[in-house]
Amino acid sequence: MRRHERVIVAAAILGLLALWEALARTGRIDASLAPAPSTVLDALIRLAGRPEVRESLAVTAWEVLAAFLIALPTGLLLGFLLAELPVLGALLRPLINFLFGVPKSIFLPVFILVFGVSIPQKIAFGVFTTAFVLIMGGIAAVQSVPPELVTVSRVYGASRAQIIREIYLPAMAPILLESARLAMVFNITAVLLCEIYGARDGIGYRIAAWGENVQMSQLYAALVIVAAGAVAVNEALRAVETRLGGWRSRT
Amino acid sequence: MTRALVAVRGVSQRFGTDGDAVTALDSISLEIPDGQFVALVGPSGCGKSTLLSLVAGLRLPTAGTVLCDGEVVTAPMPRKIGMIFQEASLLPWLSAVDNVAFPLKLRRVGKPERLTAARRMLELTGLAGFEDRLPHQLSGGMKQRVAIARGLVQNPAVLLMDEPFASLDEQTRMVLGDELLRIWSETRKTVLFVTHSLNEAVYLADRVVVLSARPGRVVDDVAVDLPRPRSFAMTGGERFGALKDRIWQHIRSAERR
Repeated sequence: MRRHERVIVAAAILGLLALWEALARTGRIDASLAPAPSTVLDALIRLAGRPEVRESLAVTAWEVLAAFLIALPTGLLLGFLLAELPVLGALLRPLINFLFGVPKSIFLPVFILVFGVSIPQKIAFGVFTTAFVLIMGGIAAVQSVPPELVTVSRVYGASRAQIIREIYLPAMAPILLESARLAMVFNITAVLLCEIYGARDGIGYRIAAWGENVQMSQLYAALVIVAAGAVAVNEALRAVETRLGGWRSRT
Repeated sequence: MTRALVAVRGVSQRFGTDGDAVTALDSISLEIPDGQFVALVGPSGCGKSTLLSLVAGLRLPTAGTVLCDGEVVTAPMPRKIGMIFQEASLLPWLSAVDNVAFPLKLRRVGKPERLTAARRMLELTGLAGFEDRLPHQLSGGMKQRVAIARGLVQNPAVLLMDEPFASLDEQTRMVLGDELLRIWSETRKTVLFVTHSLNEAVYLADRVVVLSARPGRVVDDVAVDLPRPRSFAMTGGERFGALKDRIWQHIRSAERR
């Protein structure tokens, strides 16, 4: 975004918040449903200062990170195998396509039965949900490698290891990073869903509690925290993606 | 005439299994002396490109042998053979100079050494000043020059070219043809050049080998006795026309079948 575009976007957001604030204060909108931004900010500062909220955030962050670190290699490796081994691909693809299209939350009770309401259950469900995105990403990444580049490398005497290092990895890098970013979004959503559905700790558990007690300002404050975290992770991954995938631009 | 640098002896190539096997090439024999520029023409689907990939060692023939510099070709020979494809097939994430240096990198030549060699090749192909461009910042003709530079960087004896100018526009193609002849006269490589353009074949080559429709057989072997250096004016000449005519007769009868 160019500078003047940023200014316009910032002004629009501030204007919207100001309008919301004015409407809430004058009682045009129900403050118990949509509390004024200043009230939410207040709640945000109070929440950030409470140790149990910070602990819950740490629990959620740990679950998200653990699930991602398990799902990333597993999902991508499965994707590579499905793309490179036609027999395995033919065998497993219908199943994966079927599961990919189904809302994963249907399987939540199964995870509770197996793992109980626990941190491992959140992590396992996160892995399960995220892996599908990564499997698809892994398949797409392998298929994006131009076969003529492999031929060229063979002509110039590349070994199998060199073909993987010099052609496959750089060619797949942009799609791999893109899938990792997308997978992270699914991962955060899955873990939060798990916590809201049933948990003893985690920010999702707090959100569920505030929601049941109609503590809207806390609810929105938590939303801001979660959104900020998700955006930060997303942008960090996007920055790496842009750096490694600059050659794809057509400008 | 010097000894054959590339020799194709009784080479056949069949694809598929017994029931629906297709014979792409049928006992092809060809001797190419050192430094000769040979064009390979034939109706579409006659196996020109297949023959080239056999010489490149990318596949093994069903029967017969291919020899390069006295050695039987069973795998790619990067030190002896450079290859240029219809699409430039550059690594899109590498700059022009790194693309040219790529074959040397695969051989683990040190960075300064391989960059020096690559720069020299870019100079030879008329791309000095474009070393740091990425492929998507280059025109189609320039990309193909990079590919030619890459093909020459290991100073191979043989250059295999698989319709290298087919996806370029007419003018770029003519300019690159002249450039190729200049580079060839400076480096004296043995060139095996697949094309479907009879003009290109007669204009560039010392000799035009004509393959028949599938299964591909050598149906004619035409010595192009036009003087060198070739010039655009020759393409309108009587001799040029006669040679082209002779080749065209084969192609036409093959396409009609």
